[in-house]
Amino acid sequence: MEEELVLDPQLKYWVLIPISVVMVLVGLLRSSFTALLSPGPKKTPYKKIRETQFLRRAECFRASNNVLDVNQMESRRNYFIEKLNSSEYYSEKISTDDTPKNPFTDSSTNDALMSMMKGNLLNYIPQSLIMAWVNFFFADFIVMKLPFPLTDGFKSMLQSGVATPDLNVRYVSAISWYFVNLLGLKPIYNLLGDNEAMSTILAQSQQTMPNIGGPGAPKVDKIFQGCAENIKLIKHESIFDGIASRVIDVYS
Amino acid sequence: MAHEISTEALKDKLLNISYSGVYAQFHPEQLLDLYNEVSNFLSINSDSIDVTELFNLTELRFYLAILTHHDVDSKACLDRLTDQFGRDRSQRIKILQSIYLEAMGDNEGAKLLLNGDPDELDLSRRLVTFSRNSSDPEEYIACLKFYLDVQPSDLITWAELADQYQQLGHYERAIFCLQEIIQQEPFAYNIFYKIGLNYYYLYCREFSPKLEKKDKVLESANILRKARDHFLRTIEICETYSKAWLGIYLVTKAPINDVLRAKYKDNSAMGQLLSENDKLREVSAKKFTDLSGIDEATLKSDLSVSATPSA
Repeated sequence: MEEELVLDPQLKYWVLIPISVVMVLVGLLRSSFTALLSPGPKKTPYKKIRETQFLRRAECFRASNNVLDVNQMESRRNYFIEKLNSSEYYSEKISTDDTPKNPFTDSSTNDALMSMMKGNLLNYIPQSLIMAWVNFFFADFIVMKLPFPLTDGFKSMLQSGVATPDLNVRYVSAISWYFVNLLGLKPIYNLLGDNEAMSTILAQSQQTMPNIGGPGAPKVDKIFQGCAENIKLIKHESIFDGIASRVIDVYS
Repeated sequence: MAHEISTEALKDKLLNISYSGVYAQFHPEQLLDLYNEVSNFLSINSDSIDVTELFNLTELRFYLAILTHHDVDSKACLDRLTDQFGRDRSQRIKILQSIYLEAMGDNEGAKLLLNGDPDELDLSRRLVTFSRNSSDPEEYIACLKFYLDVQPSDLITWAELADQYQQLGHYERAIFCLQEIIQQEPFAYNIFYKIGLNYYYLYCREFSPKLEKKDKVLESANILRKARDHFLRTIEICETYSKAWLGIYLVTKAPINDVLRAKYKDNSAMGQLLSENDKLREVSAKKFTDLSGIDEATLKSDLSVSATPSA
């Protein structure tokens, strides 16, 4: 028979519940702060939209020029080839030198990095503060006994900060309770209707680098020229050829 | 339970109306009914529906209130939305504000609101519409063209430009604009119908039975053939579009057919056109009377009064 530790019931009111409440409140607060600090959706500059829309128009012409007759098709083909080979619809000037730009001088990359940093700081600062708080006031506390048995493997998880190799695993130390809360509060946030709070905590572990505009993306002039080539190669066939006999065949 | 389902269905119906913007084509009476329906729905259910849906429906209610002259209620909806989303953070809210100002007669204020940022293209498009009421239609057309230069694949603007050209009688330009639309939406049968109509108008202007020159007559015949082909394409996509059947019928009955038959029957292209027209006349008359319920005798007598299909 193992010996039972006697836990002061006051521990529950002064340690266990305060830690949980503080964690929940800080999580909610942090999600509100994240929402406040995150920049709104950015507007695309109109020149960029103009470029994509013109390209779209050209692509649509290529895909469904069969709704035009031969003369209209040819005049439009000439128009598109001329415009696609000029720089009229480019959103920005094409630089001639091939040296890739330093990605960190690009403002959009900097914005992405900045917002990532803000998110990270909002994660780390409050969590370290709470951890320091727990460590300072409740160091070496055993705060509760779990109502179910566990294997020894959980010892390092549930009894960190308490140097007692022979203590039953069911006893939980204060700092471990903090960690259990940190990882297990998602259902609580869900109940409180705040899905944001947890998703940001989780995002912290699986954060990816923002897409830094490297030299990989094809340049607009190449895309335009490719589209012009495609338009040159169009083999035109009008839907209006023989349409009358088609309809007559169906309805008579 | 039955009540629950009907609330859900009603909500879906209203949201669909809101997303599709179909209320812009309602009769005044329908609008008023819809307005009452939305107001009732919101006053009962505003606490129980999802916030996104709530604000979408509030926006719908705003538009309907403006259209049905409920100024006070439209202001209330607008205030609710601006309280939630701020005055100048969203283009959508700014558009609502400008519509309210315009409805109140403050055009200058509305323009000022829309004029801020060239990147806010939705606002620019709305700004373009302010020149619509000016006495000079060319000004409106210039504005539309300017906007189309910035947004070359904005279909609504192309359609609007086509309407303007059609009103001014620039049918070829109208056709050009409409062709932009069918290139992006190759199955837009109503646009094919509109193109056919514009060709028909063009034919009506170009041709008179007194025309003597051969190439003039053949050119008119060609225009009319294009009109017919576009109506036929409409039919290929949507068989029940009765207006297009009527268009085909009119084309095949047009006086130029008689001229062609009298003088140019030996021309092989024209001979083919005439024989196709003869067959199409019967088919289209039958189809149109089937679809519209008008019998053929009435159709013939009506057509002798006015020989243009409706827009």
